Amino acid sequence: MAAPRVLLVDDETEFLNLMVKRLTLRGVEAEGVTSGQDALRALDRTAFDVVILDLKMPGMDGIETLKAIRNRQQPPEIIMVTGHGSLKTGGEALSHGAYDYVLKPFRLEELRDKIFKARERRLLAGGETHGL
Amino acid sequence: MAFEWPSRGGLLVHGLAVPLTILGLGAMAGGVEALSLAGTAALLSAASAAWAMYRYDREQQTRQLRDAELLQTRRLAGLADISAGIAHEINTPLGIILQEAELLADSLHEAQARERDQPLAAELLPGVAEIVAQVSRCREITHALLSLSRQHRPIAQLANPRVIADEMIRLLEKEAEAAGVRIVRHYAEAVPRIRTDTPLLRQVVLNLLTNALQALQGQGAAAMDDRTAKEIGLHIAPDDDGVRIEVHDNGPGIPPQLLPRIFDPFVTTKAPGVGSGLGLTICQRIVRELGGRLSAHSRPGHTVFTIALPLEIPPP
Repeated sequence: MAAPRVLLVDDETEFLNLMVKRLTLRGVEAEGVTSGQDALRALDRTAFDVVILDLKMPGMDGIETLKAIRNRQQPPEIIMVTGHGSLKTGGEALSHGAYDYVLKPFRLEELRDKIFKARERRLLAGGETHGL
Repeated sequence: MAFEWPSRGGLLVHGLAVPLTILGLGAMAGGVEALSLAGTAALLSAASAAWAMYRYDREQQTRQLRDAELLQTRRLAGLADISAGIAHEINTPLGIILQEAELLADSLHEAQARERDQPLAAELLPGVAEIVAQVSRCREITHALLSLSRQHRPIAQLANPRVIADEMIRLLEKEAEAAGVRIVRHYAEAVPRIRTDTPLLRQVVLNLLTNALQALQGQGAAAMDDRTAKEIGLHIAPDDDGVRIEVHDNGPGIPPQLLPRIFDPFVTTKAPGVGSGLGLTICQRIVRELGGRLSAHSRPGHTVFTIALPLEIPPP
């Protein structure tokens, strides 16, 4: 099976670059952008299986980006990245169709497992999956 | 909820009372030999009659429960359709109000930079912020109303209920700690994995945990005995044909007059402005879509919400 295609969205550039590098080393085809707007542009350009979305971002925040992505045709699955103490936004994200969460700080293996689970869901849902 | 299964043991004891009485009468009427033959026959036929009665009772109860659920589902579906229509119509003007208010706020922020306009801008800005906040709240409600009518097509994936519960607790534990609420896990050792829609189940578990926390933070909880430690208990155990997840809290409880309607839309024990009043309605709908049942029991000092889920989502 082809590697899942993943879009990471986080305004912290250093963290983003590190995550892209580490996920690529673990069999995930990863790309990073630093804002919600850039994420929407990237999705116009390429099909992704999973989007990893930071909940707290300046400008278009994680929830707004989540809503915009989930309103698209055959949207990718979304995993939210959040800190502790974001219960309200956390619940909101789930009700708007987020697949899962990771709480910072997280182990890379945990995120990787969730990525593969999210991709499996997309396959089961009959969504177009990159490379298959 | 209002309906309770009679305990199986209770019915059986009741059923057996009949053959045992006959046995006693047989012993009085003729000797031990007669008892061993006629008594045994009577015992068998009475036991079989009792069993038939028990079966009949159970079937009746199951049918009544199914009818009540069907009625509730139909009623809710009709209500959900109307609500969704209204929510959809209201959403567009709300969106316009929000955009205009945000534009106004931006202009006022710019005006603050000009000395001449500063006092007026300072006076108007809090009002505009309030408009934005209230419109956002209205949108939360319309979103919840739309969720009510949304048909989910559950996607089954293998899930460990304990892991899902743990993850949702992690999302909540900071707020719980700040409110002085302890979360205690009571997980059975052997909890089977289930094939269910994991994001939908997460949504339900988080919603029930959040309700429990809010019940312990609310006004009613302020009147609780200070010596009682505020506690949420999360119990997970294998059930007859699946898994049972229970969220317990030792808050003030749900008033008895509200309990039978607690899953109805806009029935809430929360203060005005807290929540949409639709959380439990949505949860119940989701649990049904997962092939399970959500129920509530409450008395002062102990409330339990139980999610009973099958091992697999049954086909529609």
